[in-house]
Amino acid sequence: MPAERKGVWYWLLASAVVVVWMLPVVASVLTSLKSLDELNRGEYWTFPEALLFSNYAEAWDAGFSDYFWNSFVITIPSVFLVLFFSSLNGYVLSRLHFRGREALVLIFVAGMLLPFQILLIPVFYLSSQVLGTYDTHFGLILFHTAFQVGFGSFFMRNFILTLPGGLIEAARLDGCGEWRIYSRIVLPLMKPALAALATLLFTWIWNDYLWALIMIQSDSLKPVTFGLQNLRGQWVSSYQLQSAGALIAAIPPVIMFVFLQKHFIRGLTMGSTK
Amino acid sequence: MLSQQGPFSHQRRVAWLFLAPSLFLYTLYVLFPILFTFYLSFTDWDGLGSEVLPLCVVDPELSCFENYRELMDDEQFWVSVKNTVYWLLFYPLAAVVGLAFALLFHVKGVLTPFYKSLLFSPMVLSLVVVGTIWSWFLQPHFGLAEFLLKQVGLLDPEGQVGIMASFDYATFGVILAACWPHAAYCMVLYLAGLSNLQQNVIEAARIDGVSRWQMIWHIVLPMLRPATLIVALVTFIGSMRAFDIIMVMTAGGPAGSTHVLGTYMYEQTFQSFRYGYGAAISIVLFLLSLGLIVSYLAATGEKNRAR
Repeated sequence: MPAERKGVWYWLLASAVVVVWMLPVVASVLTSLKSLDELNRGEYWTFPEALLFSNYAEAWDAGFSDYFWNSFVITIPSVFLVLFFSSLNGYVLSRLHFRGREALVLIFVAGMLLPFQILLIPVFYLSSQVLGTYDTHFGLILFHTAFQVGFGSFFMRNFILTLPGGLIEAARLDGCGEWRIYSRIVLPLMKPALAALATLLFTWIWNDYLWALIMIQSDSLKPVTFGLQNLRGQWVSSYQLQSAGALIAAIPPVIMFVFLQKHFIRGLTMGSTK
Repeated sequence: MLSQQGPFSHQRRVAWLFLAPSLFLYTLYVLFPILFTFYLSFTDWDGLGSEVLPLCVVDPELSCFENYRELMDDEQFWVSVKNTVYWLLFYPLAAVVGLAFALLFHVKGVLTPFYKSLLFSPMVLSLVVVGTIWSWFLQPHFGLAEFLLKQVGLLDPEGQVGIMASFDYATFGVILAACWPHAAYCMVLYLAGLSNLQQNVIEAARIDGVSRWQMIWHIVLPMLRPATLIVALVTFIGSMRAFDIIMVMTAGGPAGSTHVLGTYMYEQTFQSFRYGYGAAISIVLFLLSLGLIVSYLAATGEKNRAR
């Protein structure tokens, strides 16, 4: 359908839709800037009497500084590991010929479809009884890498299939090794796909709650999602702190989205085709 | 050995060498766990100790399927099944909203990119954040939902939005909250579909004087079929995976009325320490998903061939 130009009524309707859609966010921003007194008086949806940014400071000091750091320590290495393995696998699964290739692609796709609850108990068992990685960031990073590499490899494979093969064939005829072809020729061509995949992975891993819940026990190691849920238990009726905490937890993915939206959206649509 | 080396034998060796590290991790953390969960569902492992034996080996009186037999008599299990079905039926509401938004915002305009960004934004929030925000939104006494309903007169001033405290409706409150980010995701997929449509068909219809609704219903929607198939798949998978937002908003409560299979499994395993029983519940969830995915693939494959 071609994009059309619209009149005033359209813009009024569209603006109303956007405002209603954003109400939950607006409401929590307002709440995060109020005093507990105001909230106790039931003034939840009015503009704050004074903008209390101190709520953010209080939430930050209540543990968010550590949680925040932990989230980065978990997310960044996981994203890089997945990017590396996925690009390598994507190259292998699209440009190298060997028996079992299509079966492997299917196995990776199957992992994307299953309800991940089926992995919970064995992953807990492995990390607590076998590998000794329970309650470590390392264990969580390994798991995120393993779990996301299925989607990542499929994603990169689909992208590399769209690249012209002539360059790779020519390099191969010139006696270039496969590792050099991957690192010198294919990897630079993969940049747009890597950027798209990186934004998706960052969001998913940063936002993870379930796997941290299963594999992390110490408060000092918890990522920001787990920490937020924890602090909500302590701040039962301090909604101003809860909302400040929720907004702090949302900052990195939102910043990422603001600056890299194009890559993020392309990743979502690329990941869903084929 | 030399005689066995075809033109691709070098590529084969390199391929497996490159794949080895991640394939090892994938096998360890994804493939092996699927099989191991099957095995655990025949045991009563309590989460301690590395030795796990099937029930019928430990106690010859018991059947190895004891956990599954117990499920049949477990009322909470059936409540979870019912709620899982509710998720399957009502989570697709997000797809409808996503489609409507895509049609509404597929326009040229100065504000359009900004509006789209705002509409997409819930998608990047953690479900813990979404759940936290929506919990207050739907709170009785001071939630925005209640405030708005009173303003427009749909609720009398003394009335309450007690949806999250209701055994019958709390699940729908959670589904509604989950639809918020998911609708944004569906909108992205539908917008991509819209920008790939064949312009000449649309132009021809427009010249023929087709009305707006006829255009959407008879021309655009059928042409969006590929996008719809993807949306259907991600929506269905999302509803089977529902977990974080339920844990954050209700933790399965009140009185277990919002548990789905995926959260009841967690509760039995990590809070009641019945790992074997929890494994059996996740196997039921797995088989249910598998059945639905296979029928989805069969149905779409069938139609694709017919076309």
